[in-house]
Amino acid sequence: MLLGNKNINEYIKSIKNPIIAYMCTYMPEEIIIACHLHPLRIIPTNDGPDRSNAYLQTYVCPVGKGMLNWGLNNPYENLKGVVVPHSCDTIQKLSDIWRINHITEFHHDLVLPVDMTKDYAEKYTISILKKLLDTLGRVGRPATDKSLHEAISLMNKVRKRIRSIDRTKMSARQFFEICISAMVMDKKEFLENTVDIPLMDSKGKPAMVVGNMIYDMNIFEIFDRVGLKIVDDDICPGSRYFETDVNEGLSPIEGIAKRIIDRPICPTKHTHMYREDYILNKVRKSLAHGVIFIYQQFCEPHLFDYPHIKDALAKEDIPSLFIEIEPSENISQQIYTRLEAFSEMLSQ
Amino acid sequence: MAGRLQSTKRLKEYMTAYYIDAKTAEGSNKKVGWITSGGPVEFLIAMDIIPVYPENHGAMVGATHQGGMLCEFAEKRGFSKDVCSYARSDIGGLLSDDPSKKGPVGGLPNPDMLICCNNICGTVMKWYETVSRYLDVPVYIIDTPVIHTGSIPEEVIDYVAAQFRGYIEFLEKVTKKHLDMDRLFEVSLIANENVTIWNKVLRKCANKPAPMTAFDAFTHMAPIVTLRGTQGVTDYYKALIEELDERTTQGIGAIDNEQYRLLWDNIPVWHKMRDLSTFFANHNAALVADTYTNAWASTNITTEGEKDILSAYAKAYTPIYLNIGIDKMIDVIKGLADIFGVDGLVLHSNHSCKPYSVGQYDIARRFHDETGKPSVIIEGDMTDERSWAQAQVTTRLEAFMEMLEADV
Repeated sequence: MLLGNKNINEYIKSIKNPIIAYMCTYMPEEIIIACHLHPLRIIPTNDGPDRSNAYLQTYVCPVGKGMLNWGLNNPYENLKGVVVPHSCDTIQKLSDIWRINHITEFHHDLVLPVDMTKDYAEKYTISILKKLLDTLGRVGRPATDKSLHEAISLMNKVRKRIRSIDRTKMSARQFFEICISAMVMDKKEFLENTVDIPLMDSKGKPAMVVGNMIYDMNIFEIFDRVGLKIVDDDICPGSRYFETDVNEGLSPIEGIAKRIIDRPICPTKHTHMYREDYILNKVRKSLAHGVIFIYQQFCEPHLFDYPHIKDALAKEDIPSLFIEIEPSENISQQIYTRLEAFSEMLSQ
Repeated sequence: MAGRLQSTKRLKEYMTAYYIDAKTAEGSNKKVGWITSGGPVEFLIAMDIIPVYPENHGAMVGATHQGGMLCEFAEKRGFSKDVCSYARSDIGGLLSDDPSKKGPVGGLPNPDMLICCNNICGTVMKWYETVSRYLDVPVYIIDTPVIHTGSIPEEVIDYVAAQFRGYIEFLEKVTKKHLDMDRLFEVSLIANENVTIWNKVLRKCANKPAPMTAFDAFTHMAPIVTLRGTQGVTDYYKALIEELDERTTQGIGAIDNEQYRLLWDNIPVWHKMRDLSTFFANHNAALVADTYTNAWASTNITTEGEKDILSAYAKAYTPIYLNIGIDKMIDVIKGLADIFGVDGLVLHSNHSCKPYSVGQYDIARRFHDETGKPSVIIEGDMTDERSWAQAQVTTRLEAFMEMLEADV
């Protein structure tokens, strides 16, 4: 069984180990697992009343609002706490709001480095990871060298499994449901459930999707319906989660720190390579004919990068389409029509 | 009403001279460094580099009602209206090829380097990356981890101090000059004096009536932000203090009949300074303090007990107002409310500044719960005048004043 928007909550209720929720793919799940806890990426599901408006302004992104709402409406007895890796300004503030309103019993800020080009970023990352390990050890059970190595090996298998799946032979919805499932499910259970994924021929036009935390699977269903085949992506619940592994030859914390520094670029971080060059490389490698930008509204870090990526694509005659999803909006007919037109343009 | 401070004329002359110096640097042997408002400018001063503040420019853009026009240049290029308006107007000015449409000073002098310290927001990194691309100049990022709770941890001090070492190497590489550490120490002491005297200026508003308001402070903050680390800043504020003391001695307040004393939170609405100032004065309310200008009143570089001066810099520049947890911000606000004897809190919910604005609902709630004093939140944008709903703001402020009048 894999998870979609409808059965995530039911699954969470069935989780046996104490749950540590997190808000960003920069979260090193290995550390949570090594402490015998269950890592859970918060996937807002719009269940329950919207209580976030008492805490967040209208111009805060739907991702932040959705995650806060998820916490405020939290029906999960097993949810012990949250770890918030520092990413954007909104998440930084959301973390404080979560903490001072005691939404969960346990709360930890993982204030990761921002500039990944400097040598000392790794040393600093190692020290804050050690603190996280120590803190989580008191919530679950203290990690041992063995439990850390096992957790790393398990997470590497999860990431390798996703990478091994031929996404061109399934619908976009199916592929991203696999990714979301990996972030929510018990990792061993996930691996058992993804041994033989049914494949099919997909004849859509090859395209790549670039965006932020897109968790409403309905948008991906539209891709399939309008004849777009997603051959690669750069989104939070996609390649930014599963690309690159932890080097198992290094000491565990050093290996995890190195992965954080070297993993695919998020717009909240500074690296040697600007994101337009990174995206362009991915487009070339994947042989995508076009790029669809999908952003949850008000996402400043991504919106800063968009003009640069768009210009870089245009220089290479790669068509692109910009879609912004508004808060709590059902996928509109207008978005469907625009994607349909884009798909038709790619086939001309 | 006391009218405009005499010092304002001197301020204009002082800042004009600074801009002329910066604008004429090109072709001379002086380098220009763009730096974020919370950035450690002392290193630039010590190396004789002219610091230029795009945020200060953003304030001028807003005050001269050019925000919308400049933002449109960036929007045409694909920058969303949800991107910070300081950044958008600055980028718009760079993209504009019409010399008459580049901003109030005809555009900023071209930089030789960009110094970006993220202690005020993550936005500045994206903004400076953009400028670095468009102008093809090197950028140095100083990453100051957010101190959500407690005091600054040792690993953060070491991490930020290491970046300050890298900062020196970066500046030496760009300027091909050596930084004299004795000179940096000397500039640091001057910067401390500047900060101390700026704090004294602001504290003058604890007097009743307040001899100036936060609207004056928003204007007179230019030297402490822009020229910190130079003797001229201390000299300028000494004269300003004399003028404020003179007003206090004579019992002259910045507004007539001061009845209500208010605290402002967030960056000013630069394009509505006059209207808001008039509104509050008409309601006998003085904005006697604000969290914004106070952010430059406490950054002390204390080397005593530190490993070295760079650790002192790490400690001074990391836990600043916008780089701490919301509960710590509430403590600062309550402290200011106490010092300045305020009757209420006005919060500008600023579309362009999430680190300042997100969390204000909790701040307002806690401020009321813990002090018993009322607050009001108004929606706006610091520079983009298109994001302003006058009727809505007026209605909210009038309701707030009525509540104050009933309570006080």
